[in-house]
Amino acid sequence: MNGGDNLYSQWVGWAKILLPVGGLALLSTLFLFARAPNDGTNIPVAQVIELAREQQLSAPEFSGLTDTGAVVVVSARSARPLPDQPDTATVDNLRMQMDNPGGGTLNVTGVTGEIDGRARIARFSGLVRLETSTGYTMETSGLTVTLDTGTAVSDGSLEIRAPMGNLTAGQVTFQVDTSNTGHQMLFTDGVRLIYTPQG
Amino acid sequence: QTQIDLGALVVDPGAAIEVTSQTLSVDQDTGIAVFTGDVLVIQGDLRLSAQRVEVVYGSDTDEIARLIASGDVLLANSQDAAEADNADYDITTGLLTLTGDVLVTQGGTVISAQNMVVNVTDGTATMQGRVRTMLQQGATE
Repeated sequence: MNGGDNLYSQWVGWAKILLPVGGLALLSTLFLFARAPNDGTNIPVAQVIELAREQQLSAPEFSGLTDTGAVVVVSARSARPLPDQPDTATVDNLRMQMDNPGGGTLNVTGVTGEIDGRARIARFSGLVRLETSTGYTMETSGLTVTLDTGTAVSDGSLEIRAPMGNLTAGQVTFQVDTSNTGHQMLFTDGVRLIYTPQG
Repeated sequence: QTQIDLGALVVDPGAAIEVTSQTLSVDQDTGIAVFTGDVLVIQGDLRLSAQRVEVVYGSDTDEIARLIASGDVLLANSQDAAEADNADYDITTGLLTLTGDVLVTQGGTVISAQNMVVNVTDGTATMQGRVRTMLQQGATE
């Protein structure tokens, strides 16, 4: 057979052998190189025992509307009911955000805290840090928030960093201004502001 | 119009201002801050005391442009004292305007007027509106 014109059929002949073998090789790698068997997400047994032993709520979140229309969202890392007080839960990493209808917001974080469901009071303790949208940040030792009126009263004295300077005050109360519906931050028991003019 | 020199009332405008009061209320939505309850504003040796002082911000809320004091305002320094009904202290320009039957006691003399503008940077003051003064002719010792 003259070799010149059967180059094409030679090429087809080889293709008929090589292509299926290649396909077979590809197919086999699908099953031969399976992924390494990883062990399942391991849960520390101690935590499971602890979880089972006592009632615990992890990452609880509670949101509501105060009667002045401010949206309050309270969340924590975990909550444990108190044995002696039925409707009070101790929480840690308590966090609260209050958005006032007028636009101002208040963010509060506390290392520990208590939420009393019946009296609807959230009590922050440990290092309590407050931040308002008007640029005030302050730390205090305790804060009590009545959730249905949206009023918050601090326990200890405060160090406040205001946009205009540093402030110290005996106590701060977040409440609705008696005259209008504006939300007011009232520092009481002696206030001291240090302002250094720029320029 | 009377020009008097409150010489001792020279205040460096860059000096820190300390405001103490019983309460301070800040409106959370608008940011307006009002000190109430025997408020005392101290800058250098200028002492301005009043019942109520409202803070007026400058271009943004970290700069105070003016302090508006009202309710038996008393401006005092080492020698002189000036009483008025209300005062407006413009921190940026250093002008302190007292209005509402101003009474200035400077050493022995007493001057009263309707309003007075004190320039705290150079200690001069101009008084307008029915300025009256009592001149003691040096009582016989």
